[in-house]
Amino acid sequence: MTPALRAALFALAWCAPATTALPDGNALRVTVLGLAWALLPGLPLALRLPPERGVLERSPAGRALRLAVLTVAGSFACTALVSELLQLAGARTELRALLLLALLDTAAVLAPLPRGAGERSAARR
Amino acid sequence: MEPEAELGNHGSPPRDAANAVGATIRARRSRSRLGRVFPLAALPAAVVLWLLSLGHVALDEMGDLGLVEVLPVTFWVAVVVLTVGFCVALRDRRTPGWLYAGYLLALIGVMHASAPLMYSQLSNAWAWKHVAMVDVLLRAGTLPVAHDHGLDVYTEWPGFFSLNAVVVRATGLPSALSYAPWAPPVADALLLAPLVMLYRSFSRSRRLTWAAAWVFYCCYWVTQDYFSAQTFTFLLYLAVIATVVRCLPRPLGLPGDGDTRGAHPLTASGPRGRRRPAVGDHRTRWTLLFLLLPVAAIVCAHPLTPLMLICSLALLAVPRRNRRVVLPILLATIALTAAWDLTVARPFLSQNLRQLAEGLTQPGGNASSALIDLSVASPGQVLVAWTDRVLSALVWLLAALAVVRRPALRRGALPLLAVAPLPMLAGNSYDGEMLFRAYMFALPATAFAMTALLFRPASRSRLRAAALPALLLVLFAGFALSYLGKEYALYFTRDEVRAARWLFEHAPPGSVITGVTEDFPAGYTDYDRYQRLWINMQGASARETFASHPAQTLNRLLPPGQAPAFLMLNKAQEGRLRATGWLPSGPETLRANLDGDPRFRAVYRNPDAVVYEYSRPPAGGTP
Repeated sequence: MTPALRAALFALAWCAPATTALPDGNALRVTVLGLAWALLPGLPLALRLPPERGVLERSPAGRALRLAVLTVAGSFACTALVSELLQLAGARTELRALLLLALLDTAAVLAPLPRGAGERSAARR
Repeated sequence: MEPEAELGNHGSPPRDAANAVGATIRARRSRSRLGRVFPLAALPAAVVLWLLSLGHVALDEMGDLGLVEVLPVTFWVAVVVLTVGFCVALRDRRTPGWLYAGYLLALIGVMHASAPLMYSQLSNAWAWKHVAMVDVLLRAGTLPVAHDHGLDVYTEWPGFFSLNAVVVRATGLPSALSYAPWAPPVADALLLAPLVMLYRSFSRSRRLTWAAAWVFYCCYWVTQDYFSAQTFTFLLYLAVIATVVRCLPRPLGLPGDGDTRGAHPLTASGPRGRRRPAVGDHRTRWTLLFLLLPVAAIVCAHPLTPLMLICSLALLAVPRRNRRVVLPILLATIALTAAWDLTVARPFLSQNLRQLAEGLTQPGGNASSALIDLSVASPGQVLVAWTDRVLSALVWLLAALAVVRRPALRRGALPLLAVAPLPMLAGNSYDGEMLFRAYMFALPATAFAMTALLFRPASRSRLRAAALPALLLVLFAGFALSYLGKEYALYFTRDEVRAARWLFEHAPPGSVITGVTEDFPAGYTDYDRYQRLWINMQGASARETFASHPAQTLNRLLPPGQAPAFLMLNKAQEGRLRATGWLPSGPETLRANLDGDPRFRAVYRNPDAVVYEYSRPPAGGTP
């Protein structure tokens, strides 16, 4: 993950709750939230996964495909889980959900790579 | 060219041969150039034709063949152009991936975006039901338990509704109704990436992969892509399965694009028994850990999908070589499902334990419970039903034949994924839906197997080249009948929605809202404040007597008490009654009987719907 991408994802994570200040149904608000829910925290987490072994899987197209699948599935799943957990706790409000997601996204974007994970460390082996 | 070649036959042999070869090369180059340009031109042409065709659809004339009978010729021309363009693209192994993706997205648009582009209202009563769930969740803060037409399932697996409650509130949109109509095209487009990823694990041939994706969409007729938890969890299911299968060890040495002359991309594999090493290292561990996110989301959003996932993973774990990859995620899925079912979903399971146990003893009934009675259905509906059945049987038959004919298919994950949903058929009827759900969960694998049997990317045979578009067009026709052919009961006009809104604005809380069928927009509005009664779900005797003696039948079926009762009869319900023949007499007779009965007072009427208020006889009186 390049510093520029890291900064962009961090900004997106915190723009999402900030957009609630915009009028209801505002196109910018809907777009930013849609992007955040589709990309975060799936993209930073998927980017941290080590590369696969096969030739096909390591091709640019193969990697992009896997990244896209894991990004969308991970992000939607995370948003659903956060809203469900808040629901079960009887504490669901949109702002709480967005703030909790922003915190998770921040952790996914900024946290150091775990030992053994990440493309660079895997490539060294 | 030809005269030159002919002249050459009488001239000096070396020069003539060179001329002939040159002419052949030039002809091939010209064909090749045409083959590359045609798909590039056909795609935008088909999209433009399709969009133009949607402006001339007489939706009011829809009969028992649904949209199929009202779509204009330009729509079908667009489909032909799109299919032929795709087939020409498949002939050239240099066709870029983005062009295939463009064709698939255009196909998804034609199949699933036509309705939201044409309709002014959300279609499908089930999608309305799920929108109503989100609305109640937003109003009440929770989903109140209602033992009414399976609503308790939503209370115990509310993941999808919680997600949408956050989406609606965070975006400030008035309701999920603002985006629910677009669920089918968006969900189907999102399915494409995991589907292609799965198929790339089955074969390295890009052409076979994209052709199989096309076949998948043409056979995906089960109408499970509307705004629902099943749609959401099926997307996550496919992402999990595609990722797991990608991590599995598989044969080495598959050819690049299956273009070894005469060899099928599946059969021309490397040395038998040589496999990519089992991946139990840190690479897989992190990926599997990541997959816990979608697995957990599936578990809390839908009762059936986790079980289907467990079946698929359990079968994938059968070959010893797969276990290092599959067992951890299988055990995690079982643990998460058990944890959810024994805590949050426990009330539902304990109440329905007996019914679940009965399902185990009636596998035949589980498989056939949702099939309609064709002896009373309209001719159009009989055609649609037979198309459903033949298309589904064909998919299974050809997939089975493919596994027999192509040994490479037997060695991988494909046959395991194809049969994985079948045990669920023996377990439960899932409210009559299990047969269709089993078909749906098996379809990613069966569609690929079917394509592997019928399509040879490297073949130069002209017959095969001509047969492919014909085959894909037949599949599209089957899809159109099966999917678009039921729109007579799914499409709602503005007037029908207006009547339903009027009903819920005027019916006092506690009223019984009645419909002859469930095809009723907004029928579950404020579901915690009203009771509902759908006549078609009350058994054969109720259906038989309702048309001729509506008051007596309704009086017998209504819950005890003096709660006001309202009956709504709308165009979509009438369409369903005409097509399925559920009532012994047609909807016209029913409407005449209701209008002639003083106990039914029409309190709201517009061209597409009538709302009747039913006057109950006093307690103890004769109806």
